Amino acid sequence: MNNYIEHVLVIPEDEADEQVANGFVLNDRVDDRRVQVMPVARGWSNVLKTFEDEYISYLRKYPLGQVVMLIDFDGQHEARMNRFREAIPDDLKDRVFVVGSSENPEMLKAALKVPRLEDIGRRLAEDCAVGPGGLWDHEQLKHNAEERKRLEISVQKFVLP
Amino acid sequence: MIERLDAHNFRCLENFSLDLVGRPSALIIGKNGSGKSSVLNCFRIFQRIGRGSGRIRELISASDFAQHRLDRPMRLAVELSLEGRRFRYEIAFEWPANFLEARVLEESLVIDGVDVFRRKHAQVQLAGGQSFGLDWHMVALPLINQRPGERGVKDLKEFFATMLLVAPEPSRMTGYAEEPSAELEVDAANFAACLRALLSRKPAAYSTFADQVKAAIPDFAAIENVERGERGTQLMVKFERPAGAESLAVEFKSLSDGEKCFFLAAYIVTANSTGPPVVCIWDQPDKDLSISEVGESIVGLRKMTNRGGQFIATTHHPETIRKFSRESTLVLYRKSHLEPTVVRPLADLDYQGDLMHALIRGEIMSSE
Repeated sequence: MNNYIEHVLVIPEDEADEQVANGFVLNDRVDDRRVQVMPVARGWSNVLKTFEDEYISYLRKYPLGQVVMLIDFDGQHEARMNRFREAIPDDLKDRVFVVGSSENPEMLKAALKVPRLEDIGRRLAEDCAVGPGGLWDHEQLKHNAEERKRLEISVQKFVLP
Repeated sequence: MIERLDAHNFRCLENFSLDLVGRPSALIIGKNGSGKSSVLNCFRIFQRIGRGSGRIRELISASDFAQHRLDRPMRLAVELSLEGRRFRYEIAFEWPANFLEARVLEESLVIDGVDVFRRKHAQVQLAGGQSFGLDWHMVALPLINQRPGERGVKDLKEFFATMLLVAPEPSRMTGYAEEPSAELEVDAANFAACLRALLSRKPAAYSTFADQVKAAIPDFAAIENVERGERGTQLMVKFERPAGAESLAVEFKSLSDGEKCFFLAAYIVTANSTGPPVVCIWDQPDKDLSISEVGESIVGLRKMTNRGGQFIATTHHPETIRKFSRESTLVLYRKSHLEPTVVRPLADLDYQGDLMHALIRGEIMSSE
């Protein structure tokens, strides 16, 4: 990972989210040298704590870095988003994103009847490249619309060139 | 693509099957001594047969029989899918008392459910009804040819011969080559010869190769083969500052071990991108890489499967394990040196909490 060019670090909440993120990077359209999937944080609150402890300083040190926190909303999208919004400093808000399934990726995998969690990530990358809609409009994912729009402006141009 | 490997009475593998259906990329993990290298050695035997090694003593020795028990036959079989055709090649060896080397007990090749040949000891029976005798210390497959226009046997031999089975020894990767080669050695010592062959066959592949190297080594500028001695060439690597104002050319052999592995990975990915799909089986592809490079290198190799390639790796490295799905990860374990290896998908194993913690605790590698 070259920290001096535009890049994005993904902090997954758990192994299921990690595998979704791995699948995203495995899509051929994704520039895998611009995305680093970090070790799992183990729980959404640990994602937040890890962000506060390690990534605020990282983002200030590397102005071309961005962070995506990949969490399970467990049916509490607004409440959790508010917790994250409060924790992200104003000067970094444009470079930090929070996305995830409304419950968890295993439920999405069951609903989509795909063999692997990676398959979800691959499809999400494909649908990012193709345009609006697709899997992002699924019941488990549609609440990410606002974050996805921000990602499209800030991240997509170098992750999905 | 390799779909299945069966091995019996080969080292620690008894009644062993490696199921790769639906796993175009697979990771094999397990404690030291669990059988990972034995699996790779099975594939090496098929590779040697494909490269024309017909003599049994060039393929196996007495120590390859499980627990050195020579009174039971050793069986190896591989199932493949190539361009929509299904292949099963099987060979069994036995070591009769008072013999100085093993002999072939049985050998067969079946394509799309139809026998191409079957063999028992010295007698080889062809599909058309003809038969011939063969030294029972020789493998039949290298000698089998089909009629002009029929490609199955040739395809299989080429597949075996060009499988990329690598456990690189960077100190042996000097960059010196005499003749181009399409057959990469396990230690990758002839890497430069293989790269020369690829680029002379497909000059347009150079840009893909250079892009791959540059992704890992940003100041990489170019490679050049300079004449060395009467017949040889030495691979030189040129680096430059971003503006291109200053440059430095070094011999390939003076690169670090990890940098040599970047070049090897770039060669493999390029071969897969610019020619027929490649099967790569790499023993510890992370061995010489810094922790920040492992993930990107593994992702790059796994992406070969997007173009029909196959990538199988063994590892002890947590970063590599993280980059594979649970369904694609196969765990080998055995209770003791007197017990055979057992294989199970990681997805079928029960563990609580963090995978890495469970691995460190030894909870997964010793699962029943």
